[in-house]
Amino acid sequence: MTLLPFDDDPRKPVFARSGWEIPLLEFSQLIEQSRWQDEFFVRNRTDSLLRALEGKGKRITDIRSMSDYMYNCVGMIFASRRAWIETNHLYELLRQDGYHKVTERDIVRGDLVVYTNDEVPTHVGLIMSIRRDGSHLDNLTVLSKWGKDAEILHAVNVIPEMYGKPTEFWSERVRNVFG
Amino acid sequence: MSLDRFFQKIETIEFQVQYSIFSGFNLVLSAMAEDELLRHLMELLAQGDDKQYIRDVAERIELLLQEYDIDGDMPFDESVAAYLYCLWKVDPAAALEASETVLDAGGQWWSVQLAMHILRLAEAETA
Repeated sequence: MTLLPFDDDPRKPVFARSGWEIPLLEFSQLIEQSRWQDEFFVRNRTDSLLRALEGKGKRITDIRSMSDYMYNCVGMIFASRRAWIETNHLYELLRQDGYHKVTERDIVRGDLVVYTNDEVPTHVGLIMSIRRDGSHLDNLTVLSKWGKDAEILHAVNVIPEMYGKPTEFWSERVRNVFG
Repeated sequence: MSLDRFFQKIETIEFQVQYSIFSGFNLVLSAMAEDELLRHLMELLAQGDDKQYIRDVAERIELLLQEYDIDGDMPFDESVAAYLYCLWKVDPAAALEASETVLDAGGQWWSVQLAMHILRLAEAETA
């Protein structure tokens, strides 16, 4: 089998399960120059963010990636880290991909958590682990991409304040006969 | 606070990460609208009849854009976006000119989106 060279052009269309073409940034003539950023600055900004969180007694679990490629939290989940997708498309994406809201009690690994601030979606993350011994949200570990910065593994509430609160959980799972 | 002090604060990494973590342009605009530091800068820019502060901020944008190189560095993207936002709110004509400068430089993220936004709104108003 021959592997094709990695084609990283972020202007290529991305489709939801329904066939809906996910809107990408419109300034295609300019994004060509902006699809990579310098890893040094990603690292510096991430260090600064983590120091600020630690100053508030919050510590992340791990840094998964300091990728210099421009994708965001929505692009990490819905476009396999290939695109930057604006958060204002999040609810339409969830609908077009067949997600439904679930309660905190029903979530499993692989489901999504949506953060909102004044009822506006600001961020989305992938649930990586759940501890059931306590039922509060700190027992969830989430993987998410923090804007232009790093992809981070963190407890559900260890996030920059600007993201607001984890208020919604979504899943595309088909429930089986065992519940 | 002096203009130089505003420059120092807005060009810190601590300021930049307040905006680099966002994943949506509208979220950046909302956050800038509520940013106390930017509100104070806008108050300063609105002072005086000779628009010297406006010119100083426009020159600062040009200076920071010179830090950019085509390989993808964007060390002051959020700072440039913040200055552009303040110009837009205080002196839309100066913001239009600065937006052209940002687009000519290219290679930025939020500042390019804001520049496009400002130019589109201006076009829509004149249409």
